[in-house]
Amino acid sequence: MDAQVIHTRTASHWIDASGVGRSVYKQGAEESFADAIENIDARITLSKAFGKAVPLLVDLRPIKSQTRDVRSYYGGPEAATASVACALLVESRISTLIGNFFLQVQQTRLTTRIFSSETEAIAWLKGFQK
Amino acid sequence: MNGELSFSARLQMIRTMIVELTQGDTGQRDDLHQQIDAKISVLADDLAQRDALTAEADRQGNELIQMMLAMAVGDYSVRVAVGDDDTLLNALGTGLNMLSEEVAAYRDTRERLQQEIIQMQAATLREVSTPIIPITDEVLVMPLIGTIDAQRAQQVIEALLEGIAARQADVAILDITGVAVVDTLVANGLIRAAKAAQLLGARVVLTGMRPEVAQTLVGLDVDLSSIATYGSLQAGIGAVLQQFTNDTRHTNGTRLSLAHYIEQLPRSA
Repeated sequence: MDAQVIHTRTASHWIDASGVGRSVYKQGAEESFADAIENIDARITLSKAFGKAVPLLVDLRPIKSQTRDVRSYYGGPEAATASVACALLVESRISTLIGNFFLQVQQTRLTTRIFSSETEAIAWLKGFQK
Repeated sequence: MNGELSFSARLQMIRTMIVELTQGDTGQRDDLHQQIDAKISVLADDLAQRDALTAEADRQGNELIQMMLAMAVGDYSVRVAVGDDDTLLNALGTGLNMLSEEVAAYRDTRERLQQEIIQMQAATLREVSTPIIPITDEVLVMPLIGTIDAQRAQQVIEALLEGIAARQADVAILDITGVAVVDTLVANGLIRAAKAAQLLGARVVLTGMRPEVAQTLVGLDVDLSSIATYGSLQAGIGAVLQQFTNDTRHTNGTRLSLAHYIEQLPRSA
C-alpha cells in the first residue's frame, strides 16, 4: 500500500515504510504561524492513521525562513503529540541557522537533534521506535 | 562566471595573444583577432555580473547595517529582505531577522513581567499602608504609619470605607501615632474620612494626637470638632470600649449602635 502523503502550503508529510515520519519543506518555503498549524495537523493526522506517535525526520534544507511564533509553536505540546523524537536535517547556511536557532533558543518538549546526514538522522531516530 | 581561471590569468592570456598578434603572420592574425574578441566579450560579461553582485551585496550590507542601527536604538520592527540563494549575506539577514524577533519577544516579556511586579508591589503596599484591624465586631482600628500624600490619603479613605462596609462596623479608630507629618492635606483627608464614614452610619475616632501635631493643627486652623480625638491609641480604644460596656449594661445587655455612644464621647481627651 502506498504511503499517505499530505501536502501543505510549505511542506509534504508522510510516514515511510520503516515507520519514520517525514516532513520535507518545499524549496524556498517561508513558514508562517498558520503554516505551522497546518503542518502539525498533518503530522497528527498521519500518526493517528498509523496508530501511534512516530520518530520524525524534518528536512529543513529547502526552507528559507520561519517566524518566531512558528518556532515557539513547534516547541509546544501540539508538536509533541504526533512524534516521539525529531531529527532536523540541514545543509545550507540558512537551514543550519534556522535549525540551530530552534534548538538553542526555543525550549522544546520533543527530543530534537540536528543532522547534516540523512543516514545518521534515520539511525538515531530508529532508536526511538517501540 | 568562468570559474576555471581567475581574471588576472585570463588577462594574461589576452596579453599573450596580443603579443603573438603583433609578431605572427596574416593568417594567424585573423584567428587571433577572433579569439581575443571572444575572450574580451566573456570577460566583459563576467565583470558586469560581478558588478551586479557587488551592487547587490552592497545593498544587502547597507540593509543589514540599517537594521543593526535600528536595533541599537531599540527598534526591532525592521527586517532585511533575504534572497533565495544560500549566500553568506542571505544567511546573515536570516539570522539577524530571527535575532531581532527573539530580542523583541524577550523585551516584551520582560516589560510585561515588570508591569506585573510593579502592580503586585503597589497592591501589597496599599494593603500594608492601610491595614484594618478589627478589635471587636463593631470597632475597627486603622494604624497609619509614615508619610501621607494625596494619593495615600485617598487610599486611606477607600480602605476605611471598605472595611466599615464589609464588617458593618460602628466605629473606626484612625491612629496617626506613626504619621511623620500632619499638615493641611492629612487633616483634610481625616475630615473627609470621618464624613464619609458618617454616611455609612459609623463614627471616626482619631488617636495618637501628639502635642506637636495638635499645635500644627491649631496653627493650620483645621476644624476637627466633628471627630473625637485621643492622645494615644490605648486611650482611644479604652474610651470606646468603656463607653460601649457602660451603655450595654444600662440597657440590660441589649446591643445598640456604638456610633450612638460615640456621639456621647468627649471630643478630646
